[in-house]
Amino acid sequence: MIQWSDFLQVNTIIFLSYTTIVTIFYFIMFIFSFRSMKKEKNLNKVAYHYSLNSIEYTKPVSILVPAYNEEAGILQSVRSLIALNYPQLEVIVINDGSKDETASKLIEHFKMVPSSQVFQKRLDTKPIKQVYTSTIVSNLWLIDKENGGKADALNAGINLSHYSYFCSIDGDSILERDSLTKVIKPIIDSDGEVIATGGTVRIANDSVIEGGQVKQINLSKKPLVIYQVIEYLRAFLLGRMALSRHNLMLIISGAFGVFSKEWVIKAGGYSVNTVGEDMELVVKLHRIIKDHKVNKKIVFVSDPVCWTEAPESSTYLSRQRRRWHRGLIETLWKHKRMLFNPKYKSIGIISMPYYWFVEFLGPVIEFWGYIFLILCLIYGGIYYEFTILLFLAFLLYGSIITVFSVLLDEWNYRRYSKISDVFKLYIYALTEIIWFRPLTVIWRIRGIYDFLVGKSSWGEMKRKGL
Amino acid sequence: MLYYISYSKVKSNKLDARNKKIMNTYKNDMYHYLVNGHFSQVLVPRASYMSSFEHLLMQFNYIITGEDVKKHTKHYAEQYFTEYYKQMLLSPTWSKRVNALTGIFDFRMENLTEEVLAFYKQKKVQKDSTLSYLTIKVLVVSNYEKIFELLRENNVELSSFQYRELMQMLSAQQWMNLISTFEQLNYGLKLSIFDAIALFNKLDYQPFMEEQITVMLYEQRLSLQSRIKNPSRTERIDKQIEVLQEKLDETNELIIRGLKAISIIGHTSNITAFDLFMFTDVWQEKLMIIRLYGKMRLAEKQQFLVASLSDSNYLVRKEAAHSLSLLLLKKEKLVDIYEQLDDQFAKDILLDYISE
Repeated sequence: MIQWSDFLQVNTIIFLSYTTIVTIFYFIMFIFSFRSMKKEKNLNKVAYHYSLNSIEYTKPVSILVPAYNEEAGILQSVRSLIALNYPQLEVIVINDGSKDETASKLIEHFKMVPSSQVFQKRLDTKPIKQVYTSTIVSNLWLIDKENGGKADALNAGINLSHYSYFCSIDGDSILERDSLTKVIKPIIDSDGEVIATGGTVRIANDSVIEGGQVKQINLSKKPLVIYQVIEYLRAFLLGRMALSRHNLMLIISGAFGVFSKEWVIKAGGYSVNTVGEDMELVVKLHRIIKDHKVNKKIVFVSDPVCWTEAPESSTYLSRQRRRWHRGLIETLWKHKRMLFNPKYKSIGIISMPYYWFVEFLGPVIEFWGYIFLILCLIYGGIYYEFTILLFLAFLLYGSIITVFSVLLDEWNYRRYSKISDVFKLYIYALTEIIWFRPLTVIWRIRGIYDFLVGKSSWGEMKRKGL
Repeated sequence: MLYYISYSKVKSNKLDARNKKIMNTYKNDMYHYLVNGHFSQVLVPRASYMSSFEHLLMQFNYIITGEDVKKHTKHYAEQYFTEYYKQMLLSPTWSKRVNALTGIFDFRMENLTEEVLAFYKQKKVQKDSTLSYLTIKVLVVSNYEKIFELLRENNVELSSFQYRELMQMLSAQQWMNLISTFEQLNYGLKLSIFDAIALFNKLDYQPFMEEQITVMLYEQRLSLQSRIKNPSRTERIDKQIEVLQEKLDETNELIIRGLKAISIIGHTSNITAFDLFMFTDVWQEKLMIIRLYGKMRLAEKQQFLVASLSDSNYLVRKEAAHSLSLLLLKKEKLVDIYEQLDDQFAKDILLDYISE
């Protein structure tokens, strides 16, 4: 029979070891991000990227916009794409069997007509009803197809695309004018050694949008949105920036990423059996890079920005987070053989364990921590002074990492011009661990439950449009 | 930390406001100077306003152009930013050195060539790909004649994008120097030369490129192929085959790039020299020659183009259909060919161009 004291001791050791390892890992990530940011601080980025605005130097890009019930934001999104400061591109919107007016709005607004375009079906997709082309905007296409999910829509877009590189964008997102130029720079500079790049995704709720462009960046007044702003800063400026430095990144956000078509087709395209198709593709790319024994890289670029709409109610946010966590587990499970597998080098030895033990198991440990604390309060056996001290240390650590992300952002990018916005971000960053984090823990635990019961749907999302 | 964030925010906002104010105050004077050459004393920047004036000049540099504008920009920058950039080149901060090089490059400040050359010779600069490339760019626009010797001496290999960017900036003399040393150049640079000849319309060098493709490169490929099949028994065979194969791959790619360049230019005075590529096994070469025939509208190649509609490669078939549509401007002629075809794939592709 296990004694309560033994149980208490074992759990305390698990919590302390886990927290220590995670803290060390985050600290190392912070150092890497800090060094990268420090190097680029005060860099004149306009001048630095200026030469890439010439058609002779860039690579043509096909922009793929999968759209399912995106009537609220699709026009703004497409307008932002056709206004991009990029010499040669085509925009392909894939209407994935929307039940709303997504397709008809596009057809009407951009005066689209049916096209008899012939293309090679290199990836299997659900049947295509019709391909349309715009009579007023050159290189704007619409694929109207049967519903098959986001991955299937992207695969259909890859089949139609005419260029060697494609950029995937969410139907509710807006790209800054020079984002594409900046995000493709590592691919051009590396002569094809870099096969995929991802940019930063930021939240645009309550910002002023005109003509498909963000004219004034405002911080939302809604606490739930502000917490997401902070969360995105931490994920992109701390996590991805650090992991990318050593080619360890396993996610390029589906909202904004550029990929080599050749390598994506080699990898079999986007997987239709997961809701985390963006992460699954990147893991698959890493896998085939190692299988082919070639020196290819997948990198993150912090400067180019894609603005997106964040859920404003806890119902939709909860659905999103459950889906994200389910996608993470599906991918990790599918590629479980890579975990600790020396064949996959740093991906198998560092990245996969990080995603398994920190990203996937993190909420489980945290959740168990809360339960354990309640059990201790009921059955006794805790030193209150020590617990309070440990809790304060936990708060401090959690807040400091988040506050550092806000600091890095302000230091290098200064997106929010009002000092009140920065102040608000700082205060919310300090308190995130008390309110927002426990909520995300519960949502992610529900994501694990969804995975275990084999849920496969996306969950309806409500958009009001940017 | 809150104090630091607030302090830096206030400071940066103040700096932005000051820059904006200066730029608004002096933009008309700067515009008149750059366009008409009327210099006003208000444009002499105080030391503390240097970065504001630099931003102002840079903004104009991106939006207005012309020989006089370029001359005045260069003159102004050389007059007032020389010491400023010299100091920045010595800065331990990486971004400041990058900003200095970008400024020197954008304003074409040739008076800093010696400093930039000395800067390039530092080992830490050569190890940093961004700094070294920016330095090379500055030296190219400063008409530094020995630029490619410098790259060769330091075993510098750049990306094709970077070579291409450099080649667009080369002077006529620098181009001649480059072509005269073609044989000694590295593979990446050779590829980029072919690309650049087409992209920047360097038609004077087209005969040189054609000679390289049809005689030297093609013969070299045949010779390499035969040597791979019959390697000399006196040497270490595996290693030899590996080296020969690598050379063959490079030659093949050079041929493709050369053909691509000619197809982009869309003309050659010696088309018969390229007819041998109609029978090549390399689909990319066939595709390029089909594209060239289409652009040159060579009626005598119609039979070959029709046959290529049934090629085993999809891209070759598509290009053949495109070339036929260029060759036979009338829709009816395309319809005639369509009706004579048995191959359904070929028909589908041609239909795409008929409906266009």
